[in-house]
Amino acid sequence: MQHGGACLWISMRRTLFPPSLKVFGVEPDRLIFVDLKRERDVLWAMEEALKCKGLSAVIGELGEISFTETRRLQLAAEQSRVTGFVLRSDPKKLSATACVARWNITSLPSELETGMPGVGFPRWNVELLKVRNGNPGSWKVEWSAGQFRPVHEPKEAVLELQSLKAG
Amino acid sequence: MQKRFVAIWFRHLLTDWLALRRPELRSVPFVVAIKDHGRLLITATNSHAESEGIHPGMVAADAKALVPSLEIIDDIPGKGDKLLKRLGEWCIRYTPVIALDSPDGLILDISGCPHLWGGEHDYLKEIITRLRSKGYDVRAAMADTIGTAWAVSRFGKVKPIIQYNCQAEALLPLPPAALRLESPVLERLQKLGLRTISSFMTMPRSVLRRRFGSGILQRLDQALGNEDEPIKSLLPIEPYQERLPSLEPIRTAVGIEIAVQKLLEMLCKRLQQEGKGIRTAVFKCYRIDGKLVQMDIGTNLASHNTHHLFKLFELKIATLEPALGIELFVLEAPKIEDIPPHQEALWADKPGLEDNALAELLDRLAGKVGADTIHRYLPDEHYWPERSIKTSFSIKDKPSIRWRSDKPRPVQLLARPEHIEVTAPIPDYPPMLFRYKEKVHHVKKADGPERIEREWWLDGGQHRDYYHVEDQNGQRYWLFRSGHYNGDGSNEWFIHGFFA
Repeated sequence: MQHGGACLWISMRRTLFPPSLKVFGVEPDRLIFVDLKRERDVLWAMEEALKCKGLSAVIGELGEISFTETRRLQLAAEQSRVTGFVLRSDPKKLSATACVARWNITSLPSELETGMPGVGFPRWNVELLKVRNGNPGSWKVEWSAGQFRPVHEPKEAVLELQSLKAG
Repeated sequence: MQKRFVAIWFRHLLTDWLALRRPELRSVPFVVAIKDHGRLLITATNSHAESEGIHPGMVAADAKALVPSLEIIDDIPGKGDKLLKRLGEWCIRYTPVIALDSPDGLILDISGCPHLWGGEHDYLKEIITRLRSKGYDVRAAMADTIGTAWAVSRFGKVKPIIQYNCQAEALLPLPPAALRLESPVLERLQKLGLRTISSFMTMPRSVLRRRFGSGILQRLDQALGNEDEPIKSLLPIEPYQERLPSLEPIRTAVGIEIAVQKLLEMLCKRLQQEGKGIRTAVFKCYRIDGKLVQMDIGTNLASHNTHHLFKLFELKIATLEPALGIELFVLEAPKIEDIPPHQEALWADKPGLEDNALAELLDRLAGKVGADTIHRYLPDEHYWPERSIKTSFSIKDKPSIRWRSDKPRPVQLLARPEHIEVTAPIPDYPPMLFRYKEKVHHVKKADGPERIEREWWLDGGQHRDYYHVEDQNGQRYWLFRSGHYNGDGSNEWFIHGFFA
């Protein structure tokens, strides 16, 4: 996204507010939103988009996705080398997927210097549940001064990915 | 190129159509009449009624006296023109330029067309026999000028095809009415005993003008070809259009696909040479039952890529109804744009919004699920959150102002703020706890208020005081109180968004 790439956001009930992405270093006008009515269409649009080499990333908001469908998307993504994200907000419906990595991100209370009023920098607990050729792990990260910073563990993970995943 | 025209005269347009609709009328005399000043005035007759001496303009009661069994049918105003227009559209298979000649004729500009049907004779015969087999009683004539073709189709007795530059000979024996003159002029000619065109054509022009006005000279010049007569084409001709007639009616999707492919190849080859690309294209199918079905596509960036355009059409082929078969395919490109020459880059970054692959992807999505599902937003100069973004209509639009990032804005914004119950210390503190969707959230940290005034010149109502709060689980919300604190605890609080 930094180099002027475009990104496709495919969803059924979109609540994303584009101007907020500017804080995270994403130009909101580079996002193209596709609002569909049926889950089938979302899957079709995602697969078509993942086959298109001209994109930086494809993000799909889905309620449920079966293993076969993830496999299709994964194959399309491997072919075109476009990064794809599937956002699932219902933790009860997590099924097996064929993707490279699966993250679970929950928000954490922010921390302030003692005695200061207001809300601190946003913080998350980022959990890598599964990754191909790697070990899962868990980190606490904070967004401050224009980048993600790990809170306790000094391990720098693939934080670039999370800027979108965090939404 | 030598101009040639065909004039077609539907002798009983309306009654033929009625007889087609109601076969029982075919063998009886009937007329179509309209109410006029308290009587029924005949506007059209069929051939049986005509042979009994009934003609349009008669009063229905008089006609009934002549033929007691006469059937009278109510006229539908405007039906004749509608019929004529439909027949004109059907005739598009013979020539692209067709003009309506109200109330009962068509003019076809056939310059350069007859050889496709094997000569003028076969061409005219084909038109007449096809129209007659449809059930319309027609007469047609072909000549170098509209005036002569019109005259011969209505009044000619010898042969319908007038050879090149022989208009004068053809016109000589015809009555003056063949020149499409106004009725006062015709009456005067009649009174003076000038029964044929030959009796006055050789008169000096100044005499004719003095006696009958300049109209007669103009009509004479138009018929003889000394003066051009512009016609208004029924279907304006697109400069970028390709046609593909089919030998036999086509009914299968495969056949239509082949037609699309062929036409696209022809059109794209031409566009490529001119450095242009298609923004919108229409694919029209003329069916043998005279109906027209079509599908249209649009693209985000001008394109002359046959493969891509074909894919867009392919998605829509299922929506076409071939019925009994399609006999003519026409591909038109009403909107064309220049394609700037493209330079290959050696080390290309990830391509941005101006990328062809992206534009093609969006075209495909728009073709399948509709263009209104795709949105892109630009910043707008408003503080009011709902108005701070505007929809961009083109993928090429650039933001005119910078995106703001100085104030906290939630990642998710509810389309309309939802009501919440709060407990808040007075007067301007953030809430201590709030209840949203049957769940109580204890506010641990809060920022604010950020007051956003309503734009009174756009709508009325209360301003909003926004608070950025965090609850005991670390989840962050965007809440606001509508209006000032008013002291009696009746303030309304809303939740409007969620922070990351």
